[in-house]
Amino acid sequence: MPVVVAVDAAGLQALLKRGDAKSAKPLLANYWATWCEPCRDEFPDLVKVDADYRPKGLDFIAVTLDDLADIKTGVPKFLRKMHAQMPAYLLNLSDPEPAIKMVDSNWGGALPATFLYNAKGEVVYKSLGRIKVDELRAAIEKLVGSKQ
Amino acid sequence: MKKPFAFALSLAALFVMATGFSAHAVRPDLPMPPPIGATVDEFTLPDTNGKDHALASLKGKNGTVLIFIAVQCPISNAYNERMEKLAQDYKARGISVVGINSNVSEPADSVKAHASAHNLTFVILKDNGNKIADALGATHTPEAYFLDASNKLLYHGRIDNNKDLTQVNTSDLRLALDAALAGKPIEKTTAMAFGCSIKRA
Repeated sequence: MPVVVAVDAAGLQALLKRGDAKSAKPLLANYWATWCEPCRDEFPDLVKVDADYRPKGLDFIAVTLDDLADIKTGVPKFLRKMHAQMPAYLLNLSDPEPAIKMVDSNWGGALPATFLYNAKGEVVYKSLGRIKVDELRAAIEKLVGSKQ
Repeated sequence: MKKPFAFALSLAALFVMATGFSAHAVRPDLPMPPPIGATVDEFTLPDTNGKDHALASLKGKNGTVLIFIAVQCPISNAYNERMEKLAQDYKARGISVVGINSNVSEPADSVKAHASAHNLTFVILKDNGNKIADALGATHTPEAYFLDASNKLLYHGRIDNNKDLTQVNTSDLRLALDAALAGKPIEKTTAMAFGCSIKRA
């Protein structure tokens, strides 16, 4: 069963941090939940993206907004069904606002949301809502192709 | 409906010019919400029985709370009791609560059945074609907008900080309503929380 790690806002910030080391890689971060229908619908595409681009140097984290009670049940069960291999985290917060603002001050909190960072930690693509997979892949290609 | 939509678009253009941020680079189909202090244009939508209601006919003497809600979203459903209590508590204080369902996947009869099953007594409007969601830049459920009696937007965002009632320690929407009713400035005019995306047409 996939392992899902609980993180708070500071933990999320640390996960998103890029640019310190020469080995820093581009990062794709997807925010989702098992209760979110469009999140579930787009997840197979994200699993393929992870499989295609992780070997080329893309980091990918899946961050769920499910309840902490689901961290060993519903969330890993879904990830296993999806054959997901990316590191998975559960954002455990009593007040989500600081984390939402930290990720993107223009994000109202609607799920799903997906952000692509270059190796410097700059957002180069984001989707507030369901991804358009061709656009996402094109944005990733620019990063892993140019070895930023 | 052309007027509020055009209003939202012009606000989005102003926002882009002011900030340099282009929402169009991200999702051209998601309009930006009006800024706090903007006046929201009047609109008319049908309820779940198909009867049209103008905003002017629903608003209280001290304003209106519009809440985008859903039938199938567990986050919105976690707030059913809180939304009903909000409507009851502020009815006597001159503020009306109006629900709006903009989900293309949830027809009026399902919204009506859901309201009945969950004892939601406030008016719920069906936003076919998500025109009002677009005009207000609403993205998820539940998402609230507090308008004063002249339709000026005073607060936009979450109802409170946590879908789990036992974890609630900041009732942002109620704080905004109470401040406005007391004639005081609203300390926090926007607040965010996670929710289900509105399923647009």
